[in-house]
Amino acid sequence: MKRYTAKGKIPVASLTNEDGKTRYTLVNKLLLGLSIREYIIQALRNPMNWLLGAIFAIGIPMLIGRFINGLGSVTHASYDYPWGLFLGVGLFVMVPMSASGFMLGTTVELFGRKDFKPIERLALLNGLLGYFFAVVYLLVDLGQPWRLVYPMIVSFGPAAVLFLVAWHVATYLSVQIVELVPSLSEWMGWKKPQVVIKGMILGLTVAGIILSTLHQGALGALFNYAPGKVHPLWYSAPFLWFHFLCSSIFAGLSMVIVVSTICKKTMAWRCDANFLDNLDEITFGLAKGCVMALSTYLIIKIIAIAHDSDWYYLLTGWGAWFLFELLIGTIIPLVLFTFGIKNRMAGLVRFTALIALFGIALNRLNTSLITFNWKLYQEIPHIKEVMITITLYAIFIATYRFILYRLPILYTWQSSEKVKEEA
Amino acid sequence: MKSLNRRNFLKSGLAGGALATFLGREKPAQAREFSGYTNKGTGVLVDLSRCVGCRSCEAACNREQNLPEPDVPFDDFSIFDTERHGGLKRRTSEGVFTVVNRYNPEELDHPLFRKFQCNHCEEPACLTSCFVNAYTKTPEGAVMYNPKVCVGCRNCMIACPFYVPAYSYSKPLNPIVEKCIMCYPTRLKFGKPPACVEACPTEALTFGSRVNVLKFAKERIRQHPEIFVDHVYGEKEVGGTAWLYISPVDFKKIGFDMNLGHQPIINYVKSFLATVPMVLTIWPALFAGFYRLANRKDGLKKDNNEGAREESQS
Amino acid sequence: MKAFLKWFFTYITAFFFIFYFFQSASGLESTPPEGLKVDQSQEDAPAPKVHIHDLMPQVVVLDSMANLYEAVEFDHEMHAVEVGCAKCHHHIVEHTDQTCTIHNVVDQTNDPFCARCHKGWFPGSLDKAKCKDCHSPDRFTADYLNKIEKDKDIYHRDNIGLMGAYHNQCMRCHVEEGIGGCQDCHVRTETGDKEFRADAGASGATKKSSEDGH
Repeated sequence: MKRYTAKGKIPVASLTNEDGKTRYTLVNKLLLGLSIREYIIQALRNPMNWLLGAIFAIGIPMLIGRFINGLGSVTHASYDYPWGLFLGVGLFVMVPMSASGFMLGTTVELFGRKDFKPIERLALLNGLLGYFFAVVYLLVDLGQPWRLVYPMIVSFGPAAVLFLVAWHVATYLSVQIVELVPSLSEWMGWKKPQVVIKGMILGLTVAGIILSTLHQGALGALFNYAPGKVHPLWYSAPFLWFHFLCSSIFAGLSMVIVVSTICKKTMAWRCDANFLDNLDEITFGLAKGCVMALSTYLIIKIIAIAHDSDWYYLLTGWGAWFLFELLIGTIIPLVLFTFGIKNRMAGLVRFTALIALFGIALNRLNTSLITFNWKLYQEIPHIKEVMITITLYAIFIATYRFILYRLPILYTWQSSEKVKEEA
Repeated sequence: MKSLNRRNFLKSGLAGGALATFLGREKPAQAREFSGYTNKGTGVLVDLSRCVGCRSCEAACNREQNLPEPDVPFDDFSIFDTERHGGLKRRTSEGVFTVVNRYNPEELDHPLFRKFQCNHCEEPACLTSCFVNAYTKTPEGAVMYNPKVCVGCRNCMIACPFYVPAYSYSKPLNPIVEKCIMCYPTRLKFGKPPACVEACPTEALTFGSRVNVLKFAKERIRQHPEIFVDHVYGEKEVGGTAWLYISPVDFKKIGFDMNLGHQPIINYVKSFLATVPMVLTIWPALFAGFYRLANRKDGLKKDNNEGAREESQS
Repeated sequence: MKAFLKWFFTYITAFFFIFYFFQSASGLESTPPEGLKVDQSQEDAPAPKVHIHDLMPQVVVLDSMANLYEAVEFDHEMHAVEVGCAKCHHHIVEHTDQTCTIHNVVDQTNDPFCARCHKGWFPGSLDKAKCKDCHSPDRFTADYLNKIEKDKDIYHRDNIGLMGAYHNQCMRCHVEEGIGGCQDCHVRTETGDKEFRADAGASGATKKSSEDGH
């Protein structure tokens, strides 16, 4: 795509073409204003597509196999580890990394920090897709996925934490879809939805905060059911939900920093000046948010140990692993973020965000898989389970990129009126 | 006016009284502490000193529940030597609702056998963790599972402190949770003991009301302090279970988890569940307030501008 | 091989059984068990009490598990002589070589507490010496459970049932003697083979992983 833009092709960013008369058709929009031939050529030139293709070629047959031969054919079918990688990665890692939506929504719409506006839509999209794919992972993992709506309409177990998660994720997913309708309707050229949603935006944002607070916490509270199974250092009945909530804040923000970096590096042609010019400043702003969340997180982590009096465990092997996680996932990011912000080193901040993401993933996997059943044995996931998890993540990336290429997320849509005025 | 007031007062008093009867009596504060639902529930006392490891209970369970063919016959005792992943002893699994394991505690000159199945908790973790309410605790004490609403999230398997529920992973279309149901539909409902109890030749399993078998357990310990350790496993563990155990050796040495505590599992989740209504009610007001605060400057600016305009006009 | 052994043993057992049956039926002199010999030699002892061996059953047929196992003909006499009465009839505390006197440590008829139910049982009453007089064959029926739950007069509520009593009593010695396997005493019926899934795993060499529980 870079080569085409260099040649003077302009990717579709408005309803009508440069002369302001002919409207782009949907096909035009989908092909980014290129001819089919040009589109295929540029797609083949992209090494990322080859990588994705290779993953799909191996993973999709396995994915289909899972639905034909059952879960037992792709996992170890463990009774002791009922939740494997699909939920460990798909739910417990994806969801905190998708907390960006509600946070940027709150920052921009509620606190009126308009300086974060250029990245708001990216954060919203990141949230929406993250949640959507968490549900996809869930569908792959559920024994009977076609019954996913049962907790909503057939049979209610309102005392269960998962009931809360189900309802909140479902509601929040709809909230996020509604929040992103404006960019879709701009792209499609609809007007009405934009007006309607503009009036709802405050309500939606507040709903987003409530739902996110609760279900991010609820994911942690799911493990409250397993006091004897999760290692005491990772388990704390009164604090676990708050750990999950608090860490989701810097997880979401770090994810936005990382994704925006990738966008800037790999699809600069799609970003407009508003995005590119402000990105460094925004990154520092997001990093400041991370620092606040990280320091809170560090403190409540330590308080939780003190509260349950788990100091003894710090001297064991699990304790070393815990300290490693705390170091790599909390203390190092905290120091590096602070240093980076102080010295205005955007590159360092971006790299730190990556470390923070690694730390958060480690924490979630530790809670859900690695330290789970610490008294029994360590489960090594089945190779097919790993492969399907990677495949689903590849589909996530492909979808993400597909939308970023097209909808006005990284750039501002030039409304027809504006085009006309210029003409 | 006065009489009217009095009449209203009387009326409201009556209404209040009626309401009070409807809502039930005032409960003492300690009623919040969970100590089992009813005294009607049945229970089974497992006397580990009596079990000889004949696996008749396994065979009876297999027949009663129409379970699939086992890997080896039920009279094949080499199965006691099998180890599964992590060097652990056998556990319940798809098509196997109960297992007997052999232990060799050093203080005994003979092996000890331990039957293992769903303990039918008084406040079951599986039940409270299920988001489609697939589990029920019957008045007779059995914890039942309804496969018709189960979505297959396997949260119950996470929650069960005894690692009991198994999932039929091998079925692609209709996988369900499989566990002991205390033979409720075929036997318990009609006042009959579970099949395993009836099959046990040494009466290592004693069936009766939970209250009674608990008394038996304590009485046996009292009468034979030389045989039993002074603990009834399941009396208080995770809020109490319908299946109770007495043992000649320390429970820890024969695979019992002694760190489960006396709280029902749901108690560990209550602190979070309590925050839910708080967040739901406080957040909207709080964040609406933040919004007003954050946009106050804009509002002030607008006011100032308007004020300035007015001034310039005048 | 396994099938052969099974048949072989069945055959041998049957053979001995028939042999023994004919011997006793034809009244032929056979070598009596050692314990009996002593009895016979002192037949004309002074002050004869009722000889316990004349009162007790020779063989007790145990058939409560008749659907899974064929009825066991328990050689009561042999056991009585070999191990003594009190080993099983645990309320008997005193017996001589010649006679067994059924009584208890305490003359319980005098204890009003015990007499509520056991009036006339002790001492020496043989009609209450059967196992099932105390150990119910229907230990877990609703009737029995209701009775021990509701009848506050019952002291021995936790009374082991008949099958449990037998096994707990017998297996203590049998395990020591090395004959503790189920089929050392019980011949399994076809239903029993089915119950224990005797054919399981024989057909397929590959085993399901369900036992792994991995």
